[in-house]
Amino acid sequence: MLLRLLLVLLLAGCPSPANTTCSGPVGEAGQPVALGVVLRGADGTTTVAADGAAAALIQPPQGGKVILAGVRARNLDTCGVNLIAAVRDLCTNRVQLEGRPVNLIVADDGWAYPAAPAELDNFANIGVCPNVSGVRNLYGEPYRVEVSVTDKNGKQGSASVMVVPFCAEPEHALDCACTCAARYVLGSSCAARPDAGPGGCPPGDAGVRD
Amino acid sequence: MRWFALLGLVSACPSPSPGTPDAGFRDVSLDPTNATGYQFQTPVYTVPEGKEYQDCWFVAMPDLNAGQDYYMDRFRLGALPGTHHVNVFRVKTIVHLDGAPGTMVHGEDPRTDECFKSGNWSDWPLVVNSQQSDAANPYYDWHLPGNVAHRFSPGEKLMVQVHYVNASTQDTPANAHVVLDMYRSQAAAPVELGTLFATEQSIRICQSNPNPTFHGTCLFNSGGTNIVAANGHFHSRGVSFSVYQWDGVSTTQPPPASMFYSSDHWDHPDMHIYSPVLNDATGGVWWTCEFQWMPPDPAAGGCDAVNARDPSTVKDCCYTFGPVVETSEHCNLFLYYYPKVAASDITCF
Repeated sequence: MLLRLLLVLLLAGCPSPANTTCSGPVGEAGQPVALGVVLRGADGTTTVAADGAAAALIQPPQGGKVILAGVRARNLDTCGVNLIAAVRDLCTNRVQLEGRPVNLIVADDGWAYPAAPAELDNFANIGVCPNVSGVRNLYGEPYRVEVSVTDKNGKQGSASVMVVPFCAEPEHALDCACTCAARYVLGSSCAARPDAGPGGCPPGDAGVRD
Repeated sequence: MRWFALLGLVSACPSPSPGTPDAGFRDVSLDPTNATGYQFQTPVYTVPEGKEYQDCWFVAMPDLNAGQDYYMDRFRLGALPGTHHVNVFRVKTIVHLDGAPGTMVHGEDPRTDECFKSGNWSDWPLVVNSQQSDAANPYYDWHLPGNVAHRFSPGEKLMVQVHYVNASTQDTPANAHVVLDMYRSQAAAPVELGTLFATEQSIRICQSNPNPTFHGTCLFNSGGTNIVAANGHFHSRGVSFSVYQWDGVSTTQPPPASMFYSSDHWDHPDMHIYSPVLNDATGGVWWTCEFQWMPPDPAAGGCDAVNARDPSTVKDCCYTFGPVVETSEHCNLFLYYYPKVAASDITCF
């Protein structure tokens, strides 16, 4: 299993917007949309992710485990941006995805970030566990997060980054390790932590890892 | 052998008051011909004006096969008008919601009552659901395809969740009453039915962005799935619920030709049964919920009540995820398929 070093660009205090609506057009209208992947941690902090970033597996109120993925962007209208974010398993090429409208707000660095980064609804809530259909564990393995946006004028942009998900909440660690394991059977007991199993693509899966 | 779950008598929780349906409403009843299956019914009760009751009834499946597993291939759910939903789940991990067979956990306050909190049944596989609330046609009678059936074990605990609303967006004109018949399969070796229950997390329908659309996907365990039935669920701000066949790989919405379910009736969404079944060789479904923000009813508390449910610090009269029809929203998909693979049903949260 290839694990890259975690290179997470911590935004020194990801910009805290003065208000939490949106900033309208940001950047240069004639330029292509510039985009980066923003991940939200279990503690509510956000990071702009680089390849190898740790992606928190978080239990939202409804249950399951999600990766909260958003964007920082320029050269688009930041109000009501339609976001699609996906987690792709490069062993099988299959994805889980989620899409929703989000608002962004410009920061001092000229990029627009999630308007209310503490809130779950400012990010795509990509449901990845229970990992019923996955052929390998959702944690400790590389996956690709892909994001795409369309603003209200139809301008589009996309970005992706390789991440390594991890169980981010100690209070849910046992459940996370169990329900995010490969081929979890829905409702099966999580009383004992399962073996993590071997890493990498299982034999027989058409790997498309790049 | 007939099995009745005689309920209300053994509940440790506040029981609804038994009553008689008003004149003009034909009551629902169990099927007297179902002599070999399983039967359950709630008491007849009233839902006061302005109230929503969500009750979680716990039942144990009987021993119908000398200690061995057995199969059911027909489900008949009857409900007097006003029911928002009836969902049946297999009880698995206990969080904060449980009850002995024959008892009920009453839900009236979504802030405190466990029967309203979906995290309590997040790994409980779906068995069957109905959203039918029609005085002229109060029964949802579903025959599974030939040689396909749900498998049950003797003593297996189920939870029957009944949600009645008597408020401004939906009303209960008479009393509340739900009946459930399950019928034994006579097939020698049925193919096991699988279920898929999926919800959109952290939805938000706001005054400042009044027409949002949310997208979700869910993967099957393998190709070669046969979709038997589907229905979508949202509340009164929901304007369009669509489900598409999806290749499990693409990150763009499938074309209209791939759509196999659509509903724009939030209060009585279609339970679409596919006959012949819908073959899906590709691996997943993509669903969308389109909403239109509307001002909340002042009698139900207006924006103050909606904002009170919003966990965000940003108050924009946003309807957020929740079970209360008047002040919150859902975007849930119920889907039935076969064969079940690797003994697992599917949830996507």
